[in-house]
Amino acid sequence: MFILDITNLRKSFPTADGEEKLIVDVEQFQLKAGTELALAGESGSGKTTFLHLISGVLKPDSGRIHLDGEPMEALSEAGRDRLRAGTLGYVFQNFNLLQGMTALENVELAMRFGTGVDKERASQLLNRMGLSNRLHHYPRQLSMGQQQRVAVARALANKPKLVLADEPTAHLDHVRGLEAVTLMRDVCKEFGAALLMVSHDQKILSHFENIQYFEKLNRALEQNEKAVKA
Amino acid sequence: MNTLIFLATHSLRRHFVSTLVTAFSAALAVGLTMAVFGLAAQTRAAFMGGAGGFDAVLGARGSQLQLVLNAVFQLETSPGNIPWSLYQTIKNDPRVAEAVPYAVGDNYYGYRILGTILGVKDELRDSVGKPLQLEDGGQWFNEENREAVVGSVVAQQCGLKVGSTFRPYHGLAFNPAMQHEETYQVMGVLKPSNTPIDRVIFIPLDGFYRIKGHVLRGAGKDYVAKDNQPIPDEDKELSSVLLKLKDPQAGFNLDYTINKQGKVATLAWPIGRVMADLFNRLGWMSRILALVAYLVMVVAACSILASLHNTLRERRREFAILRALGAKKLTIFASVITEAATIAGLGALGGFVVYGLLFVLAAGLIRAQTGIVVDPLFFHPALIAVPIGMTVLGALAGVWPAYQAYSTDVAGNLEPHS
Repeated sequence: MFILDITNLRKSFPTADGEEKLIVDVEQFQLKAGTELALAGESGSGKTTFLHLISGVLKPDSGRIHLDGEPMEALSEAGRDRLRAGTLGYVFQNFNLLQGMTALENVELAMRFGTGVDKERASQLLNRMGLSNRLHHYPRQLSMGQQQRVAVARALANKPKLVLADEPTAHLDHVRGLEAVTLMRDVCKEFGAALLMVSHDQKILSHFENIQYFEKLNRALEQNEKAVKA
Repeated sequence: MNTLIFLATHSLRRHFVSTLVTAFSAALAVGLTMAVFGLAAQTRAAFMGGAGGFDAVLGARGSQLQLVLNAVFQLETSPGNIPWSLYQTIKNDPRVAEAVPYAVGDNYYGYRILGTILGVKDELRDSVGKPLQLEDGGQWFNEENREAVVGSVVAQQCGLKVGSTFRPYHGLAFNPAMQHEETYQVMGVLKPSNTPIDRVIFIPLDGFYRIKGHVLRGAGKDYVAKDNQPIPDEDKELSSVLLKLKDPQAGFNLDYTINKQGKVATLAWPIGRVMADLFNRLGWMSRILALVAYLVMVVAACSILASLHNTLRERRREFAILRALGAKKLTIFASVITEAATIAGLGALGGFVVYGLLFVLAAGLIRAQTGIVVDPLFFHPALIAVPIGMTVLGALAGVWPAYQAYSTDVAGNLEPHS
C-alpha cells in the first residue's frame, strides 16, 4: 500500500521574462506506508516545490498525486486542507514555529486543524522529544536544535501517515543535525508514519538506507539544461 | 470558534501595543457617541421635566422661552415686569390652582435672589416630584423679616448655613461694587432638589421691594418703598408668576385668553412644550454632534483597518504556516475578522469607561450652570446600539485585511525554495 503515489507531476512558474519555467517534472514516484526515504538534491533543484505539491500547498499544472489513496487533483482547496491536516506532518527548513506561541501551543495549534486539541498528548509528544522542561518556552527562548524538535513534535501532532521534512538540519551543526534526524526517524517509526526527507547534506544522507536523487527523479532539470544549450 | 478566538487573542497579545492604541481610539469613539446621545436625551428630559411642579409661567409680553428660562431655570434675564394686579387677577382665576409670584433683580455671588411669598414652600417640587425639604434645624422665612432660605448649591458654594448673614448684590450678574446695605439672615438650607432651585436664594417679596435702590413702577411711575408704610398694590410689580392649573383644559383656555386675545402678558404653557421647542430648534446642533460622533466611529474603524493592514506584511508567513498546518482559507479570513471585532469589542467595553468619565464631567458642568442633575443610571438605547455598532463596524473594517490574509500565497511565504 502506497501512502504516496505520484504520476506525471508537472509544475512550472512564470519567469521575469514572462516565460514559463518548468520546475518539477516527475514521471513516477511512490512511497510505501510506514517507510522512509531520503531525497537528495542540490539547492534549487525543485525539492521544496515537490514537497509543496505533495502537501497540496501548491497545485500542479498536471499529473496525479494520490495521498493515502485520495486523488488530490480531485479535491477542492478545502478538501486538500483537510487532507493535509489529517494525513501530513510537515517539518520546514526554518521550522516555521509561530513566535508568539509557546512550544506547547505550537503543537496544540496543529491539533486544532486536525484531530482536535489534546493537551496531554501534546505534552507527551514534547516530552518524547526531550523538551519536558521547555513546554512553556517561546521559540526565541529555545536553541535551534530545540526548535527543530518542537517542529517535529508539531508535525506528529495529528498522528500523520506521512511526514515531510524539508532540509531539517539546514540550521544545525552536523552533530546536532544528526541527533535531530535520528530522533525524527525514531519517532516516525514509533508512530508508524512514513518519512520523506529532502536534504543536500551528504553526511546526513549517508545514514539512510533508501536514498533517491532528485536530479534523476526530476526531468525538469534535464529539460531546462537542454533548452539552455539549444 | 475556539480556534478563531485562540488565533485572534494570540495575535492581539503579540501586537499588544497597537491593539491597545486601536482599542483606545475605538473606546473614545464609543464613549463619545454614547455621551452625545445619552447626554442630549438626559438634558432634554431634565429640562422638559424640570418645571419644579408648575404648569405655566405668566410674565411680561415677549418670548415664552425667555420667560421659562428666567422663571424656571434661572438662566435668562426677565423679558420685563408685570403689575401686581395681573397677579391678583390670575390668582383669583377659577382655572388656576396656585399662583406664586417671583421678583428677581438681585444676586449673591452670582446666585439669584428670588423675592416670593411663603406659599412657595408648598408648591415647589424636586426632580422626582416631591415637595422641597429643609435640612435639619432650618425653617422658612418670616415674611415680615429680612430672612432667607438658600438652595443647596448656594449654601455649599457660598458657605452659608442656618444663622449665616449676607448682603445681596444688585443685578443678576455679580458686581462687588453693587452691594446692598440690607443684611439677610439664613433661616434654612434646602435639601438638594436636583433642580435649578438649588442655585437660588428665596427671600420675602415685601423685603425684596424694600431693599434700598429698588424702584417699583407698577403704576407707571417710580415708587420707592418707605419704612413702616405698606406698599400700595398698584405700585408693586413682578418678574413672573408661576402657575399650577386645575386641568389641561385650563391651559388651553388661558393660552387663548392671554396669548391670542391679550396684549399685556405672555403665558408660557406647558413649560415642557416650551423647552421641547427650544430643543427642537437646536436639533440641528444635536444632529451635527451625532454626525461628528459617527465620523469618529468611522475613523476608529479605519484605525482598526490600518492597524491590521500594517501587521499583515509581517504576518503573511504566519498565515502561510497556518495554511500549511491545515488551516482553511476561511479560517484565516474569519480569524482576522474576529481579531478586528475583538479590538472593536474591547473598545466598546472601554467606551463605557469613557462614557462614564464624560458623563461625570458633563453632569458637573450642567449642574454648575443650571442646577439640573442628570441621572448617571439613565438608560438610552444608544448604550446598547453604539457598542454593538462599533463591534460590527470593526468587523467590517477587518474585511479587507482578512481578504488579503485569505489570499496569502502559501508556498511563496513559507520559506525560500531550494
